[in-house]
Parts: sequence; C-alpha cells; structure tokens
Amino acid sequence: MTTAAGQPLPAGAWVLRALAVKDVFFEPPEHRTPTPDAFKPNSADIKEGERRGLPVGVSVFDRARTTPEQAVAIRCWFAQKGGRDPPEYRVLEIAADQVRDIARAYNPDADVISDPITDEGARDLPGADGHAAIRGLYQPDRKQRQSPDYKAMLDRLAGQAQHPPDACSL
Amino acid sequence: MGTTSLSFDRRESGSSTAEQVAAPSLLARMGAGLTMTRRGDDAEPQLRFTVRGQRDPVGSILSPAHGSEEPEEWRVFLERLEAPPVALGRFHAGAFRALWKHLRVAIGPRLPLPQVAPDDEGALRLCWSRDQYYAELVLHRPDDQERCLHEWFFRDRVRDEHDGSKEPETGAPAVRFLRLLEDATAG
Repeated sequence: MTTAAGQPLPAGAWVLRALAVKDVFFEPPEHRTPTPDAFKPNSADIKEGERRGLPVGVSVFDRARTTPEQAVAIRCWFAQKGGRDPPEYRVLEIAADQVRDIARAYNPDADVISDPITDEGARDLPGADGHAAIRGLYQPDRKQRQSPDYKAMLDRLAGQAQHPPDACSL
Repeated sequence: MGTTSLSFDRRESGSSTAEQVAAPSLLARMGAGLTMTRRGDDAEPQLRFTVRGQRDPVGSILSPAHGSEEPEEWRVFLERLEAPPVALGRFHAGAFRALWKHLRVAIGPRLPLPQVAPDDEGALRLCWSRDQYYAELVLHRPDDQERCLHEWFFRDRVRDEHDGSKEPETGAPAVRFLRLLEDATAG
C-alpha cells in the first residue's frame, strides 16, 4: 500500500540511507560504521529542502518500495545530473519506529514521511516512489549542531542502523 | 595501572610557544615536568623533560612520536595534508599536526588512529568509532584571528553517557576529553 506524499510511513516500516563515502581522507580498518554523520543532514539534503521550500529532511527510502540497489542507482542518477562522477555508496537500514523514538526525544516534531521523487527523469526510475525523508534532524544553528546532546542523538541513531545483508556488494 | 591526566599551560614568546605539560601524579612526585615547545606553527613540537631546580632540560629532547612507530600510511597522510585531496591551508595543516602531537603525548602509542574526514563547513573531523565508544575532535578552519578552534565530543555507547565541549576551544585538547579517550582506549 502506498503512503501518500507527506504522510508518516506506517509503524513497522524500515528505511534505507545511501551515503557517499567519497570524502573520507583516512580510515583505519578497525573503524566502526555508521557514525553520527550518517544521519546528520548533508549539504544535498539541505539544498533539496531549500530548493523545494520544504523543511530539510534526511533523504531515505522506504524499504518496502525501494531496494538497496535502486537507492544507490537513484543517488548515482542525481550525482550524474549534477555533473559529478558517482561516488562509492554505503547503504544503511533502520526501523522508522526507532528513528521516531530516538529523534523525538530531541525534537518532538521529528518524523519519517513519504516524499516521492518528482524530478523529471528521476521519478520514473525503479524505486523512486519509495523516497522518504526524516524530518526534524536538521539544526540550522551551528552552535546547536555542535552541541553534545545533538551529536548524542545522531550517534544513537547510528547505533540502531545496520548494513542490509543484501547490500554487501554495493 | 592507573592513568595520568595531563594539562597544558600555554605561554607564548615571540614566535615560539611553550606548553607546560602538567602530570599531577607521577611527575609531581618526581619533582619533574614536561614542556612541549614549538617554534612556529609548522615546526615539529619537542618534548623536554625537566627536573625542578635545574635550569636546563635533562636527558634527551624527545619528539612525542618517539618510542613507537606510527604506521607508514598515517605518517604519509600527515605529511601530505596540504596536498589534494585534503588540501588544507598551511596554518590549518600545522594546527592539525599539533593537535595530533598533543594527543600522542597525552595518551601515548596506544592511541588508535582516527578516521579523518571533512565536514560541510570546511572543518576536519578526527573520530574514533568502536562498539563501546565514539569520540571526535572537529578542527575548524582558521578564524579571522588566525586561530584554529576545535570542539570535542565523547559518547560511551554502552552506558549511553556523553559529554562534549560547550564552546569551541583553542590550544591543547581539554583534559576531560583526554581522560575519556585515555580510559576508553586503556583496555
């Protein structure tokens, strides 16, 4: 069943987050991922919110409608559209209910909502209708973004995320 | 074995910087002290071991990196901070190396290598992510006063406890952060 755009994903839903790993300069083998940065709205999330005049959301995909491979293919499509070589991606999955539990302790308005891709050329890509957004994680104030409580919330989210077993080859 | 916390009292004179490294337990009992000196931002910091009542340092002058080898890939990384892809400015790169030296002096060779990545605001983030803890230092670009401020965060993932800087700081990493990171890496 399709969730209408802007509506919360149903209880029990899982979401995928495809993360570019292009910008890591050094990583020791014992480094554990994900880290809090995985759920901090990145520059693409912020630009997308500004472009559409909507609250900034962390870009994710409804696991019931999008596979890890499709999520990566969609991200690659946008990278190429922006004139960039698609970077390597890591895919994470997390339960929407856990996102709500953790994020709402920090921001009661946080939610995971359906946000289908509407861009010409991308909306027909397989899995594009499963795009969703985690709202309420964005802190426009730089001081708040650096606050220990904000980072702790992001690290709790990271602690609940895992690499989906069917995304090992991505 | 107990842990020894270090604090740094910074004094500047001309182009050189001397940071008194105070180790309140062991060194105090020995009547000794450590001073890290650096001439210019890009110069190698040097660690001097002193004994109270004597004017000149005793023993050899040590580099904090002495006593244990860092992996070649890490040394190469540190040497090439100004080159792509990291491409830090000279001052920012010098501050990064100085920060790393501080950590190595304070925690010693058991300090694990961090992941290093840029953030969206031009800062460089060092982080240590393990099952039990997450620690990070964010080193900002030089401000208009040519200071590279840094911020720290630490979370014990097992106890779900966290702490961090309330304001950006300059100079050596906070004693609180060093103690948390030292304890976390002690196992």
